[in-house]
Amino acid sequence: MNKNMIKIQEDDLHAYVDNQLSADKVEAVEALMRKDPNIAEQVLEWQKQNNEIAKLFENRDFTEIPDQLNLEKLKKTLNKKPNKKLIKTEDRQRKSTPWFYSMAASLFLMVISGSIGWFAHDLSQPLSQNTKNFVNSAISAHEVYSVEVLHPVEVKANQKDHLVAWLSKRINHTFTAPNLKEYNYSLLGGRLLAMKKGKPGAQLMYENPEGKRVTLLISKNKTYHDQSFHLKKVDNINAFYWMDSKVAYSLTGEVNSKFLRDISTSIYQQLIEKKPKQLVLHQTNIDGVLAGL
Amino acid sequence: MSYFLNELEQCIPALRRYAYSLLYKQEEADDLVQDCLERAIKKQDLWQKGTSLRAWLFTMQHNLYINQLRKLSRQPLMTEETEQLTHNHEPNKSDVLIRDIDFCMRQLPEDQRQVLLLVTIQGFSYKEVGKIINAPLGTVMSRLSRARKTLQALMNGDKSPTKPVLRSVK
Repeated sequence: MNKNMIKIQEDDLHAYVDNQLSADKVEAVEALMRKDPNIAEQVLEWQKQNNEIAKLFENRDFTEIPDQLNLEKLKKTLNKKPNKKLIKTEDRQRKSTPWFYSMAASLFLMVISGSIGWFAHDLSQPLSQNTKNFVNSAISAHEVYSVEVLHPVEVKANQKDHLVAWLSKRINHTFTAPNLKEYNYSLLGGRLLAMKKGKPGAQLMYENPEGKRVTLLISKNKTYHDQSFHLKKVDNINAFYWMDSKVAYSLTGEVNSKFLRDISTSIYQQLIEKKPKQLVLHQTNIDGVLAGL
Repeated sequence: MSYFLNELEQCIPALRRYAYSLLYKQEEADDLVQDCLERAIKKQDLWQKGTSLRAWLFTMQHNLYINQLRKLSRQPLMTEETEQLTHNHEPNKSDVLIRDIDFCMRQLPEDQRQVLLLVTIQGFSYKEVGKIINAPLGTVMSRLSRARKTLQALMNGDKSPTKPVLRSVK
């Protein structure tokens, strides 16, 4: 085969794919690929992977540096308080929870939703009829309204304050519209819905730049008592739903369940941050869960 | 602005991108980058001119990330989640759902994902990756290999891991 009899190993194929192979070996790999279609196929597959990975996050702009990462400012702050612990600097613009705490919160939710939630769902108590009705309404409402071109919402996001105040009043539960910028979804608006037995529900609709929509349904009913997180899938639609002190939430959309859960986690956190008492409890739980890992 | 800060600034977008690819949340990613930049400014005397600043920063950011992860749990985060997801979440869903590259990448075990990201998105040499994650070259290569095969299996919707491609060929 190769005139120099260079020995090619799998590592060399990786190096070839990553453009890290020495010139003489490149020739040898290419000769081998011509000879062995299986290897050629494998190399092409990995090259394809690389191309796709390279495109990950390409719609996010990392070059526009936020104020938080302004080096002159960081330096000034550091000079001012050379001996203080870094975390405590004034100019930091981070929110109250550092990144690793909110990571812990996500982990906590994953554990809860992964084990307790699904466990409860599958094995112990059956879901109440009200809960089933709730998520079914969420899915139907999503199907009906998310495809609307002209009037997807009753009140548009440019009247957000009015929208939230109005819906809060109608469903008898004060809430804020979660911010889903992190996930590239922005609020389109919302509408009031009739749930089963005449209860009102609030639907908020979010849209991403590609026009994909997810809806958040919020409704209050004193019979809602299921504690855990659940997923329901109907055709291509996934609905991630949970209850929190008599208020039920469902995030619904034609997106994969993992992504939906990430957004739901964020929504859960944003809504819970409005209630300081529960947040403390929540953090304690995280410690408990983590200690058990 | 000093030479160091100038050079440092050039690296911020790459650090942000890597942090985001680890955390998937911009705010948290930028907090991590901020920790890294502050440390870099404080420790700038330790950086040797002429060596790669980018690799030095990535090593620092990687350590900050790992330290926090260790504090939280002795398990890598993604592994925990992957198990939940594959075992409990959707046992009989169609394969179509798992062909999205982003989704599949998130399912890779943390250590494999890091190596793959550092090599592909960040374009580090295998040797540099070894320095960043503080592992010998052999470990880098085996993680890279496992990452690619797992990813391939996930993308193809395979349940079983792919067979070894090539052990040693003449």
